Amino acid sequence: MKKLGRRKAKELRFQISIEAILVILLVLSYIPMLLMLFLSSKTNWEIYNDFFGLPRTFIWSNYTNGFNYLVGNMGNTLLVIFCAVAVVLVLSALNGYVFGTISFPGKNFLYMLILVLMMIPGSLSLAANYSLIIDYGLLDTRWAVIFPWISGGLVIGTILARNSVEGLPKELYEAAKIEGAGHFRLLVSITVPLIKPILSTIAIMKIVDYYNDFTWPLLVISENKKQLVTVILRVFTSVYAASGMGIVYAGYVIASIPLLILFSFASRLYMEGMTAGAVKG
Amino acid sequence: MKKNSIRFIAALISLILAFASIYLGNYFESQSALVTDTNIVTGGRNRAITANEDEGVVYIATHDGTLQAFKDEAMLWSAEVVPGPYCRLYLSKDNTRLYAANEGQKVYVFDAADGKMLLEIPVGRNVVDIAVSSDEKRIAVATNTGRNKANVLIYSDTGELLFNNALKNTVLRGIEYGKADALMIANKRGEVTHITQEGENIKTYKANYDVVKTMMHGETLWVLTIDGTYHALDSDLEVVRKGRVVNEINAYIESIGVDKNGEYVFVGTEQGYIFVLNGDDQQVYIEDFASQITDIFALKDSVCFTGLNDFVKVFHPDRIESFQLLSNVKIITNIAAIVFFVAFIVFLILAVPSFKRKVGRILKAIWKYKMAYILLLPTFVILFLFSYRGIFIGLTRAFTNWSSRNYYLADIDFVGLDNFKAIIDNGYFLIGIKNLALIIVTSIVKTLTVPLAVAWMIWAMTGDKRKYIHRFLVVLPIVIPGVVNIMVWERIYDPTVGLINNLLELFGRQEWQRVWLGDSSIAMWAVVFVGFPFVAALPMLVYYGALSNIGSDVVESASIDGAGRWKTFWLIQLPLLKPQIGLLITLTFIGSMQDFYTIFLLTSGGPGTSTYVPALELFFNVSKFGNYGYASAMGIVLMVCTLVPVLLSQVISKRKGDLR
Repeated sequence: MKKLGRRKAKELRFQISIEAILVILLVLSYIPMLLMLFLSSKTNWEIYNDFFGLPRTFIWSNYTNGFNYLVGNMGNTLLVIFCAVAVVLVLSALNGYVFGTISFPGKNFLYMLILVLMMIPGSLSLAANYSLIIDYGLLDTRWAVIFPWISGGLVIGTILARNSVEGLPKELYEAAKIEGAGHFRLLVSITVPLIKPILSTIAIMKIVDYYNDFTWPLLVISENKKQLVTVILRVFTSVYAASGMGIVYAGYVIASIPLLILFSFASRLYMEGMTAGAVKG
Repeated sequence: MKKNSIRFIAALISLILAFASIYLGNYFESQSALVTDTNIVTGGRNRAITANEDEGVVYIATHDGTLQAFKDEAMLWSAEVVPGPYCRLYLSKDNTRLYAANEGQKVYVFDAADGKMLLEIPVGRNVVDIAVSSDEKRIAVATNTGRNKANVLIYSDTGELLFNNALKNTVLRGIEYGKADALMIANKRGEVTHITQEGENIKTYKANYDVVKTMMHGETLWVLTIDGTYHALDSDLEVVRKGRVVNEINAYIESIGVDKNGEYVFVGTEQGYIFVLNGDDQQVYIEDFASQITDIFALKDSVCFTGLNDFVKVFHPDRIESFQLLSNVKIITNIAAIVFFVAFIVFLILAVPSFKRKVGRILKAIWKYKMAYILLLPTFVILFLFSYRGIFIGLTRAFTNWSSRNYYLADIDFVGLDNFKAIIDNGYFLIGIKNLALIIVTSIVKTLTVPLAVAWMIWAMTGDKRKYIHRFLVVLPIVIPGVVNIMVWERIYDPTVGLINNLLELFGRQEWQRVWLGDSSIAMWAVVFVGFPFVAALPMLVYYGALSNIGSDVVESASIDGAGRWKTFWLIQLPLLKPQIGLLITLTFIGSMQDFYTIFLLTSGGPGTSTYVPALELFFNVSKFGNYGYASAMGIVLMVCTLVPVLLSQVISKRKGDLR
């Protein structure tokens, strides 16, 4: 009995100590986020002269100013992401179905062609892709971001969708074929409903990826009006840095909201999407 | 047999024709390029350009007070730098003297041969434009003071003030010496007036809109107004020609130029568009150069122009007529090349009987599964256009002098390994490697320590709900976009309103305060410490998933054997996590090789080169310098440096597995 009690006490001490360590780590890693929220409601004067003091009044106009500046670019980002993700999903499902159920000549070769793209880093073709965008006449348009994003997303999308389709029971397709179902029926009413989970994972993974993309839009879009929100944040910062740091922080908070919404609706899928690309790819 | 050899010859001829079509297409493309680039770089914001075409010398004055002469695209001389920004530049008729108007209230005269300053006229008012009489005895200067006072000052060639005409209620925009040295001034109300030296009006022409720029071309005075209309006036201020640009984009009109024959008119804008109008005042061409076009100057059979973004380009108006035709030719040659190439393959197959049979069989099989190919077609079209083509171009043109100057295929030359040599010679790439090594090592250490510890602690917790909450809290910060996170860290490091320096002040440790990102001795470490305490969500989730997948019986049996948590972790759990650790090391390695945007946002590689990384040098060579071939070579080096270690480690780990 005594031994068991000591063990319990030891266990309790252990649990308390890991809790303490975790809390310290969490507080430290939340500092940027908290700082952003804290300073976003202060005036420039308060930030310069009373950094740690609580805001005297909550400056709502910081948020309205930030929102007014960023809303157009947020719209661009959402529009571009929507187009790219929609195409990636449709084509990934299609490719998954073709590679997963039909055995046609050259199938392995074509699949290898896609797999190879996983291995090749983007820096190799950065200059070339930029010049191609110029040659296609897409520079400074939203298409300059959409198409290359689709091209990149199709690789991982096809791989994940094919793996998922191959995991489905073969009998399902055979039975449907006997009943006379064509490719379209097999795709729409059997494959897509069954691989929905992986499709949602792909969708969230790509939304997060695209939302965070910075260098490619920076390179191919120069007009502020057409620019995406992550890139325009730099301009936004330089515009307001001197007159209102609070507005800058409010803008950062606003730019974080779309992914926060996505996370709050689908946190499980969000985490899966994050690891799926790494582990399965 | 004979039939087959005829087919074989036909195949060869098709192949030759295919290549001929490609060559022809590229030849026409390079010939039809309306705008060609030059290698002239001033390092400043170019404001005015003029040239002595007989000797091939180009003079450029910048907003930064520099004046440089270039011969054959190499710098000939550079005049002493003056404090104010230059706005206008005139070369004397005999090509010996340069007259430069400067917004620092000065007019300078330079020797065009060596850039020596001959004369400095302190005007004491804001100079708008200058004009030089045909005998070069008088220099007329238009100035503005305040909102509505203007002066027309006339100086002698020794800098003596001869006449000073004060004008009220006007803002001057330009001044020119016309035919027989008739003095013309243009103002904001759109009035172009012929005045005497004493300032009496002789005749006025009304252009209705604010004048942007005036220019003499032969004996014709060209006046450009803000609405995009140009008025060509003769010596009696009668209109000889008038036209207006079709400015649907509402670009701000900035500069005007006319080719030597006075036929094509060029209008430059602040947004970087150039409008070209032909002799019938019809707009025939628009192109966007993305940066304000500040000055346009006519050469014998072309027109050169420059802009704030430090470029000098040459426009070939003689090619305008053939331009449309030639771009159609390019389409035709492309189609011809494809047709001949297909013909080559078909003839070749037909020529060899065993080929014929085999290909026939394959074609039959492909026909049977045509649906699969049709369904895959959209994907491969996109991948071809936006992935494979880029990779192919990157791999091949890394060995050429491809750049924004040598852009068209006809200008691109094979240079062997020069680009790779340049990587070593230039040094930036190598400097970057040192920093990159630090980033790779610290990133791997970061992924292997804190996330693993956190994952293990959460795994060791009691209660599913508690585990879930902690996991959730660790993962939540990933909703902050990477760019925002880095920018907030930039603010944290800010020397005056940053968290760190404010905390140090709070604790009375001012002596520890630093300009964290601006001090070359610590900037790199500041970059490394972004994201402290490095509780990264992805590796944490991977570790956590692996830890929970280890059967609880394995861990329990260890604890029954008397092994403590510590021992269990080192002896049982850690060895079982090997695949995940290997995966995360690989991912971190690839990620830190390719990533540069953290550094781009925080320091842009500075101060100096203290935080430079190779990928950043690559990016700058694409975005800033336009050295595409060089950038592609760096891309190849980076790819090899990334792939070789990754593949090697995989081969080694596989071998080890086989041996077991």
